[in-house]
Amino acid sequence: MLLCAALAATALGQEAAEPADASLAAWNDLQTEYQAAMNEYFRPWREARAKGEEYQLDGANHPNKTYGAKFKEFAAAHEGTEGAAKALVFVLRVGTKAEQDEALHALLQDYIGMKAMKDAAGSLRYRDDGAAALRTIAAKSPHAEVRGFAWLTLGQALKETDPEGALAALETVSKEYADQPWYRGTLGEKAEGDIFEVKNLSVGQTAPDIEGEDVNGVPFKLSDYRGKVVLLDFWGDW
Amino acid sequence: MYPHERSLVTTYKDKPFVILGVNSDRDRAKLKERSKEENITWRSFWDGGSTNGPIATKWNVSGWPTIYLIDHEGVIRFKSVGAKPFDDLLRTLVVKAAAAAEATPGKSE
Repeated sequence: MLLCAALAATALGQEAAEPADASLAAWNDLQTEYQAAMNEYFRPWREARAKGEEYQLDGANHPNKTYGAKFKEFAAAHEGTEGAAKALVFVLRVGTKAEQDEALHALLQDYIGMKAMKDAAGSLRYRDDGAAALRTIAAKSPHAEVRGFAWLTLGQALKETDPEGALAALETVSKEYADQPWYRGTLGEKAEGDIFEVKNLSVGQTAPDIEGEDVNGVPFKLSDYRGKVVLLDFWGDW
Repeated sequence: MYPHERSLVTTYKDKPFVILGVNSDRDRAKLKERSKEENITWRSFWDGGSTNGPIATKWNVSGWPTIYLIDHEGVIRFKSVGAKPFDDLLRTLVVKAAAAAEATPGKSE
Protein backbone atom coordinates (compact mmCIF):
# COMPACT_ATOMS: atom_id res chain seq x y z
CA MET A 1 0.00 0.00 0.00
CA LEU A 2 2.76 2.43 1.03
CA LEU A 3 4.78 1.57 -2.05
CA CYS A 4 1.80 2.34 -4.27
CA ALA A 5 1.28 5.66 -2.55
CA ALA A 6 4.94 6.59 -2.97
CA LEU A 7 4.93 5.62 -6.64
CA ALA A 8 1.69 7.48 -7.19
CA ALA A 9 3.13 10.60 -5.55
CA THR A 10 6.26 10.39 -7.70
CA ALA A 11 4.15 9.87 -10.78
CA LEU A 12 2.35 13.13 -9.96
CA GLY A 13 5.74 14.87 -9.82
CA GLN A 14 5.61 15.38 -6.07
CA GLU A 15 8.43 14.37 -3.77
CA ALA A 16 7.46 11.72 -1.24
CA ALA A 17 7.40 13.46 2.15
CA GLU A 18 10.48 12.89 4.30
CA PRO A 19 9.72 11.09 7.54
CA ALA A 20 9.68 13.70 10.36
CA ASP A 21 12.40 11.88 12.33
CA ALA A 22 15.02 12.16 9.61
CA SER A 23 14.69 15.91 9.19
CA LEU A 24 14.85 16.59 12.93
CA ALA A 25 17.87 14.33 13.37
CA ALA A 26 19.62 16.10 10.49
CA TRP A 27 18.69 19.51 11.92
CA ASN A 28 20.08 18.41 15.26
CA ASP A 29 23.37 17.51 13.60
CA LEU A 30 23.63 20.94 11.99
CA GLN A 31 22.76 22.60 15.32
CA THR A 32 25.52 20.60 17.03
CA GLU A 33 27.96 21.66 14.34
CA TYR A 34 26.92 25.30 14.84
CA GLN A 35 27.38 25.06 18.62
CA ALA A 36 30.85 23.61 18.12
CA ALA A 37 31.73 26.49 15.78
CA MET A 38 30.45 28.99 18.37
CA ASN A 39 32.49 27.35 21.14
CA GLU A 40 35.59 27.45 18.97
CA TYR A 41 35.01 31.10 18.07
CA PHE A 42 34.69 32.16 21.72
CA ARG A 43 37.40 29.83 23.10
CA PRO A 44 40.34 32.30 22.98
CA TRP A 45 38.15 34.97 24.58
CA ARG A 46 37.08 32.63 27.40
CA GLU A 47 40.66 31.48 27.98
CA ALA A 48 41.92 35.05 28.10
CA ARG A 49 39.20 36.06 30.55
CA ALA A 50 40.05 33.15 32.82
CA LYS A 51 43.57 34.58 33.03
CA GLY A 52 42.25 38.09 33.58
CA GLU A 53 43.44 39.11 30.11
CA GLU A 54 41.71 40.76 27.18
CA TYR A 55 41.06 39.18 23.79
CA GLN A 56 39.64 41.05 20.81
CA LEU A 57 37.17 38.91 18.89
CA ASP A 58 37.00 39.42 15.13
CA GLY A 59 33.34 39.87 14.22
CA ALA A 60 34.04 38.90 10.63
CA ASN A 61 34.71 35.34 11.80
CA HIS A 62 31.54 34.95 13.85
CA PRO A 63 29.81 31.69 12.86
CA ASN A 64 26.54 33.55 12.19
CA LYS A 65 28.20 34.95 9.07
CA THR A 66 28.31 31.51 7.45
CA TYR A 67 25.66 29.51 9.24
CA GLY A 68 22.79 31.73 8.12
CA ALA A 69 23.40 30.44 4.60
CA LYS A 70 23.92 26.85 5.78
CA PHE A 71 20.61 26.73 7.60
CA LYS A 72 18.93 28.31 4.61
CA GLU A 73 20.37 25.55 2.38
CA PHE A 74 19.24 22.97 4.90
CA ALA A 75 15.69 24.27 4.78
CA ALA A 76 15.68 24.06 0.99
CA ALA A 77 17.04 20.52 1.06
CA HIS A 78 14.44 19.32 3.58
CA GLU A 79 11.50 21.33 2.32
CA GLY A 80 8.16 20.74 4.02
CA THR A 81 9.55 19.17 7.19
CA GLU A 82 9.68 20.23 10.84
CA GLY A 83 13.48 20.31 10.52
CA ALA A 84 13.23 22.83 7.70
CA ALA A 85 10.90 24.97 9.81
CA LYS A 86 13.42 24.96 12.67
CA ALA A 87 16.19 25.86 10.25
CA LEU A 88 14.19 28.82 8.93
CA VAL A 89 13.61 29.98 12.53
CA PHE A 90 17.37 29.97 12.94
CA VAL A 91 17.81 32.07 9.80
CA LEU A 92 15.13 34.45 11.15
CA ARG A 93 17.22 34.88 14.29
CA VAL A 94 20.74 35.25 12.94
CA GLY A 95 20.65 35.70 9.17
CA THR A 96 21.20 38.94 7.24
CA LYS A 97 18.18 41.28 7.00
CA ALA A 98 17.35 39.91 3.56
CA GLU A 99 17.71 36.29 4.73
CA GLN A 100 15.51 37.01 7.76
CA ASP A 101 12.76 38.58 5.66
CA GLU A 102 12.83 35.64 3.24
CA ALA A 103 12.74 33.11 6.08
CA LEU A 104 9.80 34.84 7.78
CA HIS A 105 7.88 34.92 4.55
CA ALA A 106 8.52 31.19 3.95
CA LEU A 107 7.54 30.29 7.52
CA LEU A 108 4.23 32.14 7.34
CA GLN A 109 3.45 30.81 3.88
CA ASP A 110 4.50 27.15 4.04
CA TYR A 111 5.10 26.14 7.67
CA ILE A 112 2.27 27.78 9.58
CA GLY A 113 1.04 24.41 10.88
CA MET A 114 4.37 23.43 12.48
CA LYS A 115 5.08 23.57 16.22
CA ALA A 116 8.30 25.40 15.32
CA MET A 117 6.13 28.49 14.73
CA LYS A 118 6.26 28.97 18.51
CA ASP A 119 10.00 29.52 18.27
CA ALA A 120 9.43 31.81 15.29
CA ALA A 121 6.97 33.88 17.36
CA GLY A 122 9.64 34.28 20.01
CA SER A 123 11.82 36.14 17.51
CA LEU A 124 9.16 38.54 16.31
CA ARG A 125 8.62 40.83 19.29
CA TYR A 126 10.99 43.60 18.22
CA ARG A 127 10.62 43.43 14.44
CA ASP A 128 8.78 46.16 12.53
CA ASP A 129 6.69 43.53 10.76
CA GLY A 130 6.43 41.45 13.93
CA ALA A 131 2.90 42.40 15.01
CA ALA A 132 1.36 41.47 11.67
CA ALA A 133 3.26 38.17 11.59
CA LEU A 134 2.20 37.36 15.17
CA ARG A 135 -1.45 38.01 14.29
CA THR A 136 -1.15 35.56 11.41
CA ILE A 137 0.33 32.86 13.63
CA ALA A 138 -2.29 33.49 16.34
CA ALA A 139 -5.05 33.15 13.76
CA LYS A 140 -3.77 30.23 11.72
CA SER A 141 -1.76 27.82 13.87
CA PRO A 142 -3.59 24.57 14.63
CA HIS A 143 -1.74 24.28 17.97
CA ALA A 144 -3.24 26.00 21.02
CA GLU A 145 0.18 26.33 22.64
CA VAL A 146 1.51 28.19 19.59
CA ARG A 147 -1.55 30.45 19.27
CA GLY A 148 -1.48 31.35 22.97
CA PHE A 149 2.21 32.19 22.84
CA ALA A 150 1.72 34.30 19.70
CA TRP A 151 -1.04 36.30 21.43
CA LEU A 152 1.18 36.81 24.48
CA THR A 153 4.14 37.94 22.38
CA LEU A 154 1.87 40.29 20.42
CA GLY A 155 0.66 41.82 23.69
CA GLN A 156 4.24 42.37 24.80
CA ALA A 157 5.23 43.84 21.43
CA LEU A 158 2.41 46.43 21.57
CA LYS A 159 2.77 47.51 25.22
CA GLU A 160 4.34 50.92 24.58
CA THR A 161 3.04 51.75 21.10
CA ASP A 162 -0.54 50.48 21.25
CA PRO A 163 -1.69 49.78 24.81
CA GLU A 164 -5.28 49.05 23.73
CA GLY A 165 -4.08 46.51 21.19
CA ALA A 166 -1.77 45.05 23.81
CA LEU A 167 -4.63 44.63 26.30
CA ALA A 168 -6.84 42.97 23.69
CA ALA A 169 -4.11 40.44 22.89
CA LEU A 170 -3.25 39.81 26.56
CA GLU A 171 -6.90 39.41 27.51
CA THR A 172 -7.27 36.81 24.76
CA VAL A 173 -4.49 34.89 26.47
CA SER A 174 -6.25 35.18 29.86
CA LYS A 175 -9.60 34.05 28.49
CA GLU A 176 -8.60 31.32 26.05
CA TYR A 177 -5.03 30.14 26.72
CA ALA A 178 -4.51 30.63 30.45
CA ASP A 179 -3.49 27.04 31.15
CA GLN A 180 -0.92 26.71 28.38
CA PRO A 181 2.61 26.23 29.72
CA TRP A 182 5.09 29.13 29.84
CA TYR A 183 8.52 28.36 31.28
CA ARG A 184 7.88 27.27 34.89
CA GLY A 185 4.34 28.61 35.00
CA THR A 186 1.42 29.28 32.67
CA LEU A 187 0.59 31.78 29.94
CA GLY A 188 -2.27 33.03 32.12
CA GLU A 189 0.07 33.96 34.97
CA LYS A 190 2.44 35.73 32.58
CA ALA A 191 -0.39 37.61 30.87
CA GLU A 192 -1.72 38.75 34.26
CA GLY A 193 1.59 40.46 35.02
CA ASP A 194 1.69 42.09 31.59
CA ILE A 195 -1.94 43.27 31.90
CA PHE A 196 -1.15 44.88 35.26
CA GLU A 197 1.84 46.58 33.68
CA VAL A 198 -0.11 47.99 30.73
CA LYS A 199 -2.91 49.22 33.01
CA ASN A 200 -0.75 50.70 35.78
CA LEU A 201 2.84 51.16 34.72
CA SER A 202 2.62 52.92 31.37
CA VAL A 203 4.12 56.34 30.78
CA GLY A 204 1.53 58.91 31.83
CA GLN A 205 0.07 56.88 34.68
CA THR A 206 0.48 57.51 38.39
CA ALA A 207 2.92 54.95 39.77
CA PRO A 208 1.54 52.53 42.33
CA ASP A 209 3.07 52.99 45.75
CA ILE A 210 5.87 50.69 46.91
CA GLU A 211 6.18 49.70 50.56
CA GLY A 212 9.27 47.88 51.74
CA GLU A 213 12.47 47.89 53.73
CA ASP A 214 15.88 49.20 52.80
CA VAL A 215 19.05 47.14 53.12
CA ASN A 216 19.30 48.14 56.80
CA GLY A 217 15.81 46.89 57.52
CA VAL A 218 14.30 50.38 57.83
CA PRO A 219 10.76 50.55 56.38
CA PHE A 220 9.99 53.21 53.79
CA LYS A 221 7.70 53.96 50.84
CA LEU A 222 8.02 55.36 47.34
CA SER A 223 5.37 57.96 48.27
CA ASP A 224 7.67 59.30 51.02
CA TYR A 225 9.51 60.99 48.15
CA ARG A 226 6.53 62.71 46.53
CA GLY A 227 7.64 66.21 45.54
CA LYS A 228 10.95 64.92 44.16
CA VAL A 229 11.76 63.41 40.82
CA VAL A 230 12.47 59.72 41.41
CA LEU A 231 14.80 57.58 39.35
CA LEU A 232 13.51 54.11 40.26
CA ASP A 233 16.12 51.55 39.35
CA PHE A 234 15.55 47.80 39.47
CA TRP A 235 19.11 46.58 39.79
CA GLY A 236 21.53 44.00 41.16
CA ASP A 237 25.29 43.76 41.53
CA TRP A 238 25.22 40.16 40.21
CA MET B 1 25.59 52.10 35.55
CA TYR B 2 27.13 53.15 38.87
CA PRO B 3 29.30 55.96 37.43
CA HIS B 4 26.29 57.48 35.64
CA GLU B 5 24.14 57.38 38.74
CA ARG B 6 26.92 58.72 40.92
CA SER B 7 27.27 61.65 38.54
CA LEU B 8 23.50 62.31 38.72
CA VAL B 9 23.69 62.40 42.50
CA THR B 10 26.38 65.08 42.19
CA THR B 11 24.65 67.04 39.43
CA TYR B 12 21.35 67.27 41.31
CA LYS B 13 22.75 67.46 44.83
CA ASP B 14 20.56 70.30 46.08
CA LYS B 15 17.62 69.70 43.76
CA PRO B 16 14.37 67.75 44.24
CA PHE B 17 15.76 64.51 42.86
CA VAL B 18 16.42 61.11 44.37
CA ILE B 19 17.57 57.71 43.16
CA LEU B 20 15.71 54.76 44.70
CA GLY B 21 16.84 51.26 43.89
CA VAL B 22 14.96 48.00 44.05
CA ASN B 23 17.70 45.52 44.74
CA SER B 24 17.65 41.86 43.76
CA ASP B 25 20.96 40.66 45.20
CA ARG B 26 20.99 37.52 47.29
CA ASP B 27 23.24 38.56 50.16
CA ARG B 28 22.46 41.67 52.17
CA ALA B 29 25.86 41.84 53.89
CA LYS B 30 27.73 41.47 50.63
CA LEU B 31 25.52 44.14 49.07
CA LYS B 32 26.44 46.61 51.83
CA GLU B 33 30.12 45.89 51.25
CA ARG B 34 29.81 46.34 47.49
CA SER B 35 27.80 49.54 47.96
CA LYS B 36 30.67 50.99 50.01
CA GLU B 37 33.20 49.91 47.38
CA GLU B 38 31.19 51.44 44.54
CA ASN B 39 30.12 54.50 46.53
CA ILE B 40 26.45 53.71 46.07
CA THR B 41 24.96 56.28 48.40
CA TRP B 42 21.31 56.06 47.36
CA ARG B 43 18.69 54.03 49.13
CA SER B 44 17.35 50.73 47.81
CA PHE B 45 14.38 48.60 48.65
CA TRP B 46 15.60 45.15 49.61
CA ASP B 47 13.41 42.95 47.43
CA GLY B 48 13.75 39.75 49.43
CA GLY B 49 17.07 38.56 48.05
CA SER B 50 16.16 37.54 44.50
CA THR B 51 14.91 38.69 41.12
CA ASN B 52 11.53 37.12 41.97
CA GLY B 53 10.90 39.40 44.94
CA PRO B 54 7.48 40.94 45.63
CA ILE B 55 8.31 44.39 44.20
CA ALA B 56 9.89 43.16 40.93
CA THR B 57 7.03 40.70 40.54
CA LYS B 58 4.34 43.35 41.03
CA TRP B 59 6.12 45.69 38.61
CA ASN B 60 6.44 42.84 36.09
CA VAL B 61 10.18 43.30 35.77
CA SER B 62 11.82 40.81 33.41
CA GLY B 63 15.12 42.50 32.53
CA TRP B 64 17.81 44.16 34.63
CA PRO B 65 18.28 47.01 34.96
CA THR B 66 14.76 48.36 34.46
CA ILE B 67 14.49 52.12 34.93
CA TYR B 68 11.49 54.34 35.65
CA LEU B 69 11.49 58.12 35.88
CA ILE B 70 8.65 59.33 38.11
CA ASP B 71 7.93 63.04 38.28
CA HIS B 72 7.34 65.12 41.41
CA GLU B 73 3.60 64.34 41.27
CA GLY B 74 4.14 60.62 41.10
CA VAL B 75 3.46 60.25 37.37
CA ILE B 76 5.58 57.87 35.29
CA ARG B 77 7.36 59.85 32.59
CA PHE B 78 9.88 57.32 31.26
CA LYS B 79 10.57 53.62 31.41
CA SER B 80 13.18 51.40 29.86
CA VAL B 81 14.67 47.95 30.11
CA GLY B 82 18.42 48.33 29.86
CA ALA B 83 20.17 51.61 29.27
CA LYS B 84 18.34 54.16 27.18
CA PRO B 85 19.22 57.86 27.38
CA PHE B 86 17.05 59.98 29.65
CA ASP B 87 19.31 62.79 30.84
CA ASP B 88 17.54 65.55 28.90
CA LEU B 89 14.13 64.44 30.13
CA LEU B 90 15.43 64.16 33.68
CA ARG B 91 16.72 67.71 33.57
CA THR B 92 13.29 68.96 32.41
CA LEU B 93 11.51 67.05 35.18
CA VAL B 94 13.82 68.38 37.89
CA VAL B 95 13.33 71.95 36.65
CA LYS B 96 9.55 71.46 36.91
CA ALA B 97 9.86 69.95 40.38
CA ALA B 98 12.00 72.84 41.57
CA ALA B 99 9.54 75.36 40.12
CA ALA B 100 6.65 73.61 41.88
CA ALA B 101 8.58 73.64 45.15
CA GLU B 102 9.22 77.37 44.84
CA ALA B 103 5.58 78.05 44.04
CA THR B 104 4.48 76.35 47.25
CA PRO B 105 7.15 77.15 49.83
CA GLY B 106 7.46 74.72 52.72
CA LYS B 107 5.63 71.94 50.87
CA SER B 108 8.69 69.88 49.94
CA GLU B 109 12.22 69.72 51.39
